[in-house]
Amino acid sequence: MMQPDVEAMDEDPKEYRWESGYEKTWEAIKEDESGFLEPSITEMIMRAKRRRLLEREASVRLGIMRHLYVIVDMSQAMNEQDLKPTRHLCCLSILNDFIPEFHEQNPISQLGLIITQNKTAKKYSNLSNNPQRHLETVKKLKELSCRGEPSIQNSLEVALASLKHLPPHTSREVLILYAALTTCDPGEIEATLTKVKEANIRVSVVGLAAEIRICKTITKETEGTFVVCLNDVHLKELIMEHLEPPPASKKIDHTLIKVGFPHQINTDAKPALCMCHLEDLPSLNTEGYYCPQCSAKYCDLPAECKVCGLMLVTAPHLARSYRHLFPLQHFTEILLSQSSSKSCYSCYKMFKEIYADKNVFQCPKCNQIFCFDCDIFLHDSVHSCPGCVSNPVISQNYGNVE
Amino acid sequence: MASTSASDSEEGCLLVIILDVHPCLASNEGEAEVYLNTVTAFANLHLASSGANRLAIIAANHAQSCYLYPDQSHEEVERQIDGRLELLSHVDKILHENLKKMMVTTTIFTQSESLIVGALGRALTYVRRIESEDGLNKKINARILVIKVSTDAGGQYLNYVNMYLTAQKMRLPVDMCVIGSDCGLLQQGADITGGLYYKVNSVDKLMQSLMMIFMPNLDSRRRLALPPSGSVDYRAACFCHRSLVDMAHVCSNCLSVYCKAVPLCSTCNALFGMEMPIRKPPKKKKND
Ligand SMILES: [Zn+2]
Ligand SMILES: [Zn+2]
Ligand SMILES: [Zn+2]
Ligand SMILES: [Zn+2]
Ligand SMILES: [Zn+2]
Repeated sequence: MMQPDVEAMDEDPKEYRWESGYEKTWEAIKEDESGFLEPSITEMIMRAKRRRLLEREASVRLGIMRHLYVIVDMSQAMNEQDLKPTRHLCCLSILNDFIPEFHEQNPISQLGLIITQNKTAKKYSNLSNNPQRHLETVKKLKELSCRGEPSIQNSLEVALASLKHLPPHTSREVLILYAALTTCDPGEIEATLTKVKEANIRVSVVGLAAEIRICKTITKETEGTFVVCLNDVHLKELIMEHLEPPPASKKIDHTLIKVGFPHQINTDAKPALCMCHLEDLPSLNTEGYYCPQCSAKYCDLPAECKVCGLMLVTAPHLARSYRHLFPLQHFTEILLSQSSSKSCYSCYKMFKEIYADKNVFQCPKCNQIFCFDCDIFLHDSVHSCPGCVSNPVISQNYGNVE
Repeated sequence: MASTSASDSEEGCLLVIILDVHPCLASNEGEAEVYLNTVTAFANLHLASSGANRLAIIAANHAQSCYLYPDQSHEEVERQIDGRLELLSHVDKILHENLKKMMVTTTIFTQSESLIVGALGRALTYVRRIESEDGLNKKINARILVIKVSTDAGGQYLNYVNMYLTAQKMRLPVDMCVIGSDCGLLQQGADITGGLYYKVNSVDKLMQSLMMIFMPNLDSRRRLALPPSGSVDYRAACFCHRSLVDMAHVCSNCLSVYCKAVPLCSTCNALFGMEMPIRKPPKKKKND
């Protein structure tokens, strides 16, 4: 019933780099003798990152309650060793970082894992906001061998079956990590694509090997993104980009969601079993968080209460999302010679008149000058300007949300 | 993880002290002197205890935050210093010079709180720069110590959380030592970043606490019986009344917190339909 689908290969072959001899764009970039890539590629990635940060429209409405399925290609193409140690292990170790980060930055969102190999697709981790469960799945997947061919259609069908029933106010997303150059599908993928579009699911693909026509089509039709990685650093960068919620689709409705803010347990509480480690050998202790609705105990937050279904979060994790409401304004790139600063306001690095520090970055609110590294770090990770929050006038009107 | 104590002594520890120098210190000159001398002595002890140890001090008052040490205008002098003792007296000198400068430039007295969070942001980027300059193979054991004297007005919550979660991601513990009254905001920070929180009753007890609690490196701390930190309050304040709640409704678009169901989000103007029950994903056992 499953016939190999060669459609991906027979159209416009000239268009694809892998066919014209470049399996990867980055092979054109020379490695030096010690195996390190020239600094230009790091620079290129950092520049691209800054551009993406600039492009991210501050005012865009974000569908923050996300439901994301990560589909991992586990076909034989993942055994290649161009990413170290293998594509398979490289991807999984990036997911190991991605998963906790995703739940931290998207406190009321849910994640699930699907893998595809041997022409089929299988759900390995149900949608949930329990990072622990997904991390255990990733551990299991490291042991699983990569074999056969992948199927994009079957993977999308598995994701579709679960995502289409979700309430209308959620953002529905699929992220495919894909190494193979073909897909082996049971039928017309267009039919699946139509259903995916109707269900308002955004599909993005991170390619490990080459551009493939079908991935281009799917991502274009569903308003997702399609990028092929240059190396392992770039791959991590591309996957981590999906930590940020995508712009909300217009079709999303809004609603109020009930959440609980559990108490951290004080020492005079009765020792209790936690709900998260019931399967291991649980130890009785008093440390942890109680569900305010049913008093079940959890070691870590965020979590979804297994007993009463309440979403359990902490105020700091919710506050983390408010950066979308109060985004850190972009800094202006100026020439070092135009500023009187001798050092970066934040990290105290001395500026030198060499290439790296020729341009510096100025906060439009507090006018302090920052180095390139701090500009990226503050916008990408911190989301507050140390200059503005060190200024009593600005900080009084800025981000005072509790 | 297990072998960090050995590498600790070789690579040393980068300690960044964030020092509150709020003008309220001026109300008791004798106490202010004890306070500053204690911190200087503690900084010296840190530098003296290992040749590989490193130090930075960032001060904050109600008007600004400011690097006290290192000081780039003294970099040349510092390069010529070879003895450890000479370095220590040099550190003392710089600290006092820069503190004086800072006091002079901020003469207007207001009641507002110290801008600790600004100093904290600068400390994060400082640690990050030193770590990257040291190269990928050597991980310097960095930690931040906040010493706070002024009372807390509870402003800038969001900025504090941004700093805490970044420090947590960097695996950078932030220790909090407060003098006088408890500070819930700093207590959350210590809990989130894996640092210690401790309240000292008065300035003359500060040295003892710094030595007993905040001097030991991270590994030896695990072996010490430290005072329990108590429980940390992680409830959120609703946007409508600013009261703390343990259950709430949040807007699915912007996560604004409401203590009661509302028809419209006052933050992002989203209109709400009927409230959705929390829906569990369908369990399809036959496929799994
Ligand atoms: Zn519950
Ligand atoms: Zn900098
Ligand atoms: Zn600023
Ligand atoms: Zn309220
Ligand atoms: Zn809202």
